[in-house]
Amino acid sequence: MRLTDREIHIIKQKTAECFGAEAAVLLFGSRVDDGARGGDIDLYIELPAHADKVFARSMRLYGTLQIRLGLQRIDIVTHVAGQALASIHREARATGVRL
Amino acid sequence: MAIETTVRSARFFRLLILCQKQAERLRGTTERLLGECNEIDGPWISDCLGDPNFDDRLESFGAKFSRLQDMICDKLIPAFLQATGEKTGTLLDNLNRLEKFELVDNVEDWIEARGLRNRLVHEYIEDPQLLADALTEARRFSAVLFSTLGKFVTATENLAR
Repeated sequence: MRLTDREIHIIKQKTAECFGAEAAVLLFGSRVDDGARGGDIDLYIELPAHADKVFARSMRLYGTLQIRLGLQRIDIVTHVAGQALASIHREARATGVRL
Repeated sequence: MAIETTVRSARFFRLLILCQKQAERLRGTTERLLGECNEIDGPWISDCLGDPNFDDRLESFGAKFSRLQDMICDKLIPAFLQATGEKTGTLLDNLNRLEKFELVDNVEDWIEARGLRNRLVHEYIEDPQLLADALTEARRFSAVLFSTLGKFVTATENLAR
């Protein structure tokens, strides 16, 4: 996984601040691959069924991470438990690594 | 006025005109995409998706919105700071400087809005409610972009003299 300990700490901390302690965050995409270079930070966030204001919270997390991690290319995908899985959700679950 | 300053000012005004033209295009596309729809919600999006005209307009809206945002953030704002003799840095630094001049109201809002582009793509965002939220937010932030262009015009009237 190509994230520093500091980056992992910030991502976990800010995800919990924006979505609560029940949110699970996974890194997926090219940053999981140690042999690759560069690439977006693709985050998949699994939320409990009672999650609310998912879009607004995602925007806030995106903004906070941009500021704390230094304007990187970050993509955040959310899934609320019980809702249908889109192809991006399936890909993230299959290839993602929990932070 | 030193030649270098004049050149920087000229570049800024050229970019400002380009941004105003791009803003007009975005206004037109927004009108064609959303028309009279005030409340964009999941059911409305579900009804519209699949209509080839809507899909085309949605794609066009996403592209024009992102382009205007990029032009203002990555080109116009640094050009403004250079034309006024200010230092330039990262987007965050530049936005913080503009906040001091009262040309930008909320730096966090601008940074968050940079995340909208990926959320305006239907093939990617399959949930109609999330797409509705993203469109609502993009329409709101478009108004912020338009008003910022207006503020630049007022703030730079002295530069043009």
